[in-house]
Amino acid sequence: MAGIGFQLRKLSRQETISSVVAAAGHAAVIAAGPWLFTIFSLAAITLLTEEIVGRQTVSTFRVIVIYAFAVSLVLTAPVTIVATRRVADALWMKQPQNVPPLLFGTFIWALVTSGFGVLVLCFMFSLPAPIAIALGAMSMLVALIWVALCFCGAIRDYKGVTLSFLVGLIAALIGSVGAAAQDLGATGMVAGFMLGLTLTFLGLTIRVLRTFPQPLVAPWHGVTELWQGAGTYWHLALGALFGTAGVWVDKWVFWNSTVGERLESGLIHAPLYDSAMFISSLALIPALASFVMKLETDFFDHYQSYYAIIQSHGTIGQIENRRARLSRNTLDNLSLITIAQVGVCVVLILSAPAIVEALNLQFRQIAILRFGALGAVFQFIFIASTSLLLFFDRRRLYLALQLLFFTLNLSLTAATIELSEDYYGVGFFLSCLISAFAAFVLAERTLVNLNYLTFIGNNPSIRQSTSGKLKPGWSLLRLLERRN
Amino acid sequence: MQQLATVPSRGAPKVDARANDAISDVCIIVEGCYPYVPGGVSAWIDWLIKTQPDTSFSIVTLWPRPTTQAPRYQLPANVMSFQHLYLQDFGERPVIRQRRPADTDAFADALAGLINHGGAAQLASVMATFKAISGTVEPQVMFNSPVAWEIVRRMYDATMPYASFLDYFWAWRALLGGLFATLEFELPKARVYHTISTGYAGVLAARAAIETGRPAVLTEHGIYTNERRIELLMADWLADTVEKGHALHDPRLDLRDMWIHAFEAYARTCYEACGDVVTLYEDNQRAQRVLGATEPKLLVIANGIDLERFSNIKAAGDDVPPTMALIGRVVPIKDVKSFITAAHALKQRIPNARALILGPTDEDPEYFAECEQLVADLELRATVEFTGTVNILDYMSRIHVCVLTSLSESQPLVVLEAGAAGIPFVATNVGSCREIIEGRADEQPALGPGGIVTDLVAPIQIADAVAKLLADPALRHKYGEALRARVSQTYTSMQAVAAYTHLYGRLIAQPTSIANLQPATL
Repeated sequence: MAGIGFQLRKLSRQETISSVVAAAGHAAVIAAGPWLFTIFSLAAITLLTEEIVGRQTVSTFRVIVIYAFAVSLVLTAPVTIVATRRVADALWMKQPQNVPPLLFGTFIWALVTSGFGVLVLCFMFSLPAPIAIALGAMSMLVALIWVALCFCGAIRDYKGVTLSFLVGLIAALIGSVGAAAQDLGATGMVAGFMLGLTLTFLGLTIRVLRTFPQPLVAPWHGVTELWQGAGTYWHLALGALFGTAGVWVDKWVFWNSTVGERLESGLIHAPLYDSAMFISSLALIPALASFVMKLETDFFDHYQSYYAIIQSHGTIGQIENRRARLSRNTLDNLSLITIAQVGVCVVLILSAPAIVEALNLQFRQIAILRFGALGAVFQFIFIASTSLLLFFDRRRLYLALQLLFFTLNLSLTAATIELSEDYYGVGFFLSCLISAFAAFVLAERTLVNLNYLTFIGNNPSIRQSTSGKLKPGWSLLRLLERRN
Repeated sequence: MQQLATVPSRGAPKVDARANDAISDVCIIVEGCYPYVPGGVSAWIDWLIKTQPDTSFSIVTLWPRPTTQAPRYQLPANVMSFQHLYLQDFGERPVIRQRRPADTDAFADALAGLINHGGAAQLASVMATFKAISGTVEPQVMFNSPVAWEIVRRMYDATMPYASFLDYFWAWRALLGGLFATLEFELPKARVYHTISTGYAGVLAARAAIETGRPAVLTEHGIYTNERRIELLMADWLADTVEKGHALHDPRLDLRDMWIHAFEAYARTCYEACGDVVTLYEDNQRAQRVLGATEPKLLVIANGIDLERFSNIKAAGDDVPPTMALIGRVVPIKDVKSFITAAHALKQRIPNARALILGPTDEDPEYFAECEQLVADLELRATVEFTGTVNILDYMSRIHVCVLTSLSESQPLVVLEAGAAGIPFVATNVGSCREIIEGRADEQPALGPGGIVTDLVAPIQIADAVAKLLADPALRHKYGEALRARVSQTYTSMQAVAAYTHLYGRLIAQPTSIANLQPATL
């Protein structure tokens, strides 16, 4: 994560506006590429094909795509976050020959977890065979894309990422619109869409394998290594799982409510809520892009200089100076981006009626869109703060916060959905608000207490040298703090 | 020495047995030897406990961290309890948040005072402020908590704000970890607290004296502070963190100084809190005085030997060639090469002289080979003989003069043994050699010299001294008898036993007085 932003700032120092924008675009792709890809293509396909094949077919197609993305995102998140750590370890130890087996192992685990998820869905909704096959194929293909994307991130190959996605997007558009034109039905459109996804996947994988041309020796070693990695980094794996599930859980609640609709295929969705929320979540993209750009580059500089002064025998005064600089700079950047994000949000709120008009949505969705946009401001703070915590290796807090967000989004959405239509989206907004507050406070405390955490509180060599006897009366939270 | 492990009922020291909180007569506090390291101080403690059968003991052994080593001594029957105090066991996993005590500054300042200057009053302040905080924070948690962080920050700012904080921090942890462990340790109840060194053991004894009002006593074999100082000066793991360049008078402390000062401060604390400061020989008292042991406390109780074993040895006569002998291991610290060179010089004067080296040669084979080479080079094959390990009683009647060329000793028993056999001694001026050979300043009646004391690494002086004694049987006899008289007057095992019986008796009877030591006002 740190490395990516570092590379990005080099790009923006070429000092032409276009290259800065290019860097920002790369960053956006890295941080939220999946969103851009899904939402733009779905919107485009919907607009282009609805007239030709009719609403029901487009809906089925769209829901299959949404399910495939959701299932694969949630279930590969724990796999890819562990893989990212492992790849970073391998590169740090200068063992590039370990990367191809790791890539292979990650592919396997991603296929296993997302395949399992699809199986569960098939039984849950008793899906007809063509739909089940389409969903399964697409979920697993998208899972592979997430894996390849994470490896590309690790090697900082933004050009490759952007190119692969761009080519894939165009091919997917042509493929699915073509299938619609040939009247091949929803599954045909899925197949056409997958044509593009396959190109994206191949493009990404080729870039990774070009970087690591070492022959794939002992591929199963990567599978077991990842399993062991999950043991070491189980906080991260669980945190990522609940983090991605947390983003989707409000949608799931809506699908299962009276707002939800069941399609012919047996799949459920809630177009009223879904489309409004998807559009509002696009508002996150500028903030996330500048977060990756600004925070992770500036921040990374200060971050390194802080640890460097400790290692080079600095006095506490010098250490404290660097800590204060790191802390101030980080919080300043976070505030700046948040303010900009508030601006985006205001624009979105004011223009909500116009957007609804343009995209041919229902007027009831204006309020949902607005709550979604408000939520996005805090969701950004939450994402930024939790990733800061990861920089300081506070894995237990990361997990606790992701659990908090998941639980809140689940319970508050379920609670507010009962009230009235006016409250659709309030659950998501409140969850983001509360979690963002908690995450920000913890990130801020971490920065303020960084010296203590570095030397005593979170110092691995002290943790290992102490007896760590568990006392009676430990709570769940204490358990999270102790195990490492 | 029996293996303690074979007697699980009372032996296995893993069980830190407390005999129903019963009060023992004497609590022995010992750092880093008994009962795990054989010889030296451990053997002495074993001897002490066994020769005071009517006194009940409890033992606290200070050790870095739990050990898997088997104990080398069986606990005698008069030992009531045996406890470990682990100095580098840093307690619980770190905590991130905690309820902070109102005032940690007073504790930090007291700690800084203790490790920089020492003294019983400083320790009393530390104990008082520690108690005040431990109401809020459990001691086991404190060392890895924000409280510890506040303390280390304040102490660093007060003492060496220019030094590498990273190095200071780890040094602080090692130094203060032991001190925290000593502060939070639950003391066994005893009438007298007897520490066998200064250092952390000395601090624990001082704490016991302050806390219980019972007397504390110190018996110091070697000077602990000197030993630590030598270790620290040689420690290359300790980076010199302050770049002093060529400025000899830079007043800034570096970490090495901090460690040395801390051990001196611990010693000062112990000397102040102990009512009696015992050592094996007078020369040690110089160092004790320097670090604040006052005159009325100072006491010498020498190690003694069993005279009986040597009573039947006849003095070597003219029937054997003139012989000098070095009794000891062939290792560099004994400076055997000086002895060989002295033999060469002696041979110039007394051509038929013999030089024996009685002791194991296998401890440092490289050094032994060098010694043999020196013998060959000096053409001394007919003069010098390495006997290896032997029973010295078999040789004593064939030795005219015993020699010790050591570079360092404390109280060498070999001088006493030679004295018990009536053999005059030539020794370098190390440890208590001069005291045993020439007598203490206050010797009553003065017995006269029992031999000749030379400088270190001075083979010619040694050869001269030995030649003088070999050439003059009357002088040899006079010196031999003087040494014999001194050993039986001052250095018998019985006397040492009696001295400790007397000391313990006096201290056990001493009334409890808490009021002696009050915290220093800050």
